[in-house]
Amino acid sequence: MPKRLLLLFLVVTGGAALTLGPAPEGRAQDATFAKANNHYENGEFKEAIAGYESILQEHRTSAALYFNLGNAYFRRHQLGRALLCYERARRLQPRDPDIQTNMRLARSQLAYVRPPRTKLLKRIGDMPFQWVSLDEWTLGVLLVYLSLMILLSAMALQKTARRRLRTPARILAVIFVIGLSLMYVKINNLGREALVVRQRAEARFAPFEKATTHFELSEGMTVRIVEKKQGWFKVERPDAKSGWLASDTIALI
Amino acid sequence: MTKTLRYHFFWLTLLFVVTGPGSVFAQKPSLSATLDRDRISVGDAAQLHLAFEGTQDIPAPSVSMPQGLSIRYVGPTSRMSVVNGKTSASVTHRYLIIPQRAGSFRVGPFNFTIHGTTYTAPAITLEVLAAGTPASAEPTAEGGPTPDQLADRIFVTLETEKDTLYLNEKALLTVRLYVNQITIRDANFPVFETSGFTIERIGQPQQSQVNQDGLLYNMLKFNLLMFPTRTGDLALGPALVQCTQIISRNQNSIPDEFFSSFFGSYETNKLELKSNALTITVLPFPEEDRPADFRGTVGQFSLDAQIAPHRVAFGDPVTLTMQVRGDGNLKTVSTPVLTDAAGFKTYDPQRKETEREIAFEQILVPKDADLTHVPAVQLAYFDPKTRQYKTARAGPFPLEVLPAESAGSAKVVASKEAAAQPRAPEELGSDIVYIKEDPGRWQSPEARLYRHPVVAVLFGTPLFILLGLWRWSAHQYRLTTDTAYARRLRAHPKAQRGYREAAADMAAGRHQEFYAGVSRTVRGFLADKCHASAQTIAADSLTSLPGSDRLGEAGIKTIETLLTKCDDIRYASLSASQDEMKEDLAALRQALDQIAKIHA
Repeated sequence: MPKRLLLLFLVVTGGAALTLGPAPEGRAQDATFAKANNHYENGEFKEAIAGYESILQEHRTSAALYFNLGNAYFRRHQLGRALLCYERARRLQPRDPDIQTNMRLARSQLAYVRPPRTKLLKRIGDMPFQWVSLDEWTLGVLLVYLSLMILLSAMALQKTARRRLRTPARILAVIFVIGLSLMYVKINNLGREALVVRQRAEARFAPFEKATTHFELSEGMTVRIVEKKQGWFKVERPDAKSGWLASDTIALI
Repeated sequence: MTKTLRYHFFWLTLLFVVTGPGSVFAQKPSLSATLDRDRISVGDAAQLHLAFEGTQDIPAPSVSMPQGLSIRYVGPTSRMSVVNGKTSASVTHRYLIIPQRAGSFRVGPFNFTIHGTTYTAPAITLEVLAAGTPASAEPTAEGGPTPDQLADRIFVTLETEKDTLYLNEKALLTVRLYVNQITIRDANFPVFETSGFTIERIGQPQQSQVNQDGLLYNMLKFNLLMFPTRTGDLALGPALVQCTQIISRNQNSIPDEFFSSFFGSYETNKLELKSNALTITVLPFPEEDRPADFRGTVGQFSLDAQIAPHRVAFGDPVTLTMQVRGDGNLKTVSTPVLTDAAGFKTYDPQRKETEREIAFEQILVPKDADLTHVPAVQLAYFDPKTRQYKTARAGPFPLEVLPAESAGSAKVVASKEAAAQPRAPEELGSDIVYIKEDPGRWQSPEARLYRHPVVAVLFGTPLFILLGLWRWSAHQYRLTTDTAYARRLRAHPKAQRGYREAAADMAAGRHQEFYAGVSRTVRGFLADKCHASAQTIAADSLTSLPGSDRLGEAGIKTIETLLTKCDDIRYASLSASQDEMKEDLAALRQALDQIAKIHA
């Protein structure tokens, strides 16, 4: 019985792993990327941006693409858009020092109003993702889970080993629960975080042009989208103040 | 309880049941409407009491008021009393009437139909005197002017120092809240209905007293700054100020917030006050004489700048520091530009903004070793006071560019004292890291590992496997510890095997072996199912086995007959024909089916 179950496990996981397959080919994108790089080197930043953006429209991304696009926007003094691209690149390769350096420089050049402090719990929740991408975190959680399952299986099969394995199993269970919770929160926030790409964005009390301004947001500030309505986003600042922004003033990270 | 006490209790209860409820329900429902005061002044309030007699099950009715009076529901008061054996119940709904202007008002008549019963009460008159007039005295025209409208006693004004502005020009905006003989609290900062302006607060609101049209007002002044962000005739306001009015319910005493809040003799009323609206004309920047380097800076500004160091080796950077100060919209201040940047490689400047000034730092690297100075920097701005473009300048700044070798030799000939002096911290330039040549691994923007089916499989499968393992482990454990369970579990295959062997013996004509096998199979199956010893099972003791009641009478009879016949043939050395054996094999199948019902 256990041998059959273990065999089933190996067959299922092996088969599943085979479906992962290699990364998609991107020869056409490689050529466009090189061409856009040439434009950048010649100081033709507008053309470089058009080249990089055309790759994005083909539903292909990479950290290097966002990085180079961020550089091109930076050279054209579109610092909000540059910061947006660096942030997207950082999410794919969080430990890349070049991305971090350029992000810092872009931030320092923005006429930046110091953003209100984020809640402590949110800061703690975001901390791991400063260093690890969501895919890496998912893989880590999966490995912890599989280790926990192996330990529990060993405990089921070997009664004599149960006491010895109990503590490691508990530790792994706690790590798994924390890891899975953070992963859930992160996934839940995907598509809700946005960055201000205009020099000044007025958050209003209602989603129309003549509504009273509640507060202003500076270029480069991040907000959380809580509601959408025909060309308007209801956004929330880190200090929980909310208002309606025209959709062209922000971009999803 | 004694007999006498029991007797009295019975009659008292009967009396209450017969007369008590009857006296309550017998009371005729009625309505009376009263005011706690029939004469008040503007700013005060009167209480209207609607008392419903004869019942307490009356919801608060909606009461309409004549123009000039507003009404707010306060709450109910219930009362039940027993007087001379008569029980009466009533509920009084209280309302607060707040006058908006002076005059004589007729409140009512009141006519409500509630739960099928009509309640009526005649109208009552409320006289509202002008503010400042003692309500106890007759109204008089003597004394100063007394406003008789609430809007005259508390109002908001909106003013600006200019009604014509240029784009991005700073202007002071003032909102004033005037209050006369009204107690208010919790006045909020004004909120504006506007677009095309950015509005910022300046400091805290200031409180003072002003005389206006012969009346003394307490005034709260809110200072704000406004910056138009587009051109045209733009509407500004009205400003909305929210506050809470404190209304005294004790006409004779001086309002005292402590006692009022302590004894609850004050009512509150939320007020939303709107100011007048303004129309501001926003002009575009004039096209005439507009400098080429004008970037929308508006105000009056001065520019200071310095370079450091003044002596550099060829190829080393020079830091140009610029400070812009002045009066105007600091957010529109653009970076001052070099009048001639041809001899330098320039980097994007860094901007730091404080309340008083904006500082810029720009890195310059000389491209020519013959340079003698850093050219002047200038900031073009529009001065709305003079309606002219102006340019603030600073520099040029003397600079000595040393050849790279000279700079090196200069270090060699430096004096010991100079060498001993601490070197100034090295100033490094800053710029973004260059683009990447390798695009890296392409992926779809929606591709996430957690969405991959493999991950779902890897999360789900081990859980099922683990559940299976735990179940199997529990089964194994029970097999080793629960003998009855283990015997029951093995009984069926064992009985089937016995049946097959008996069938084989019958086919071979071995009747002795056949009946021995049938007896062994039946006894063994019964013993395993009932967790008993096979040797103790006899044909005449089947009913004593645990669970034998599930065999039924017919089943017991079949097994008894079969076992008796087996014993007869085995021990009396009788023979049996092939047909008899066939019948007994069928009886064995029947017996096994019956036994299988035990602990099924």
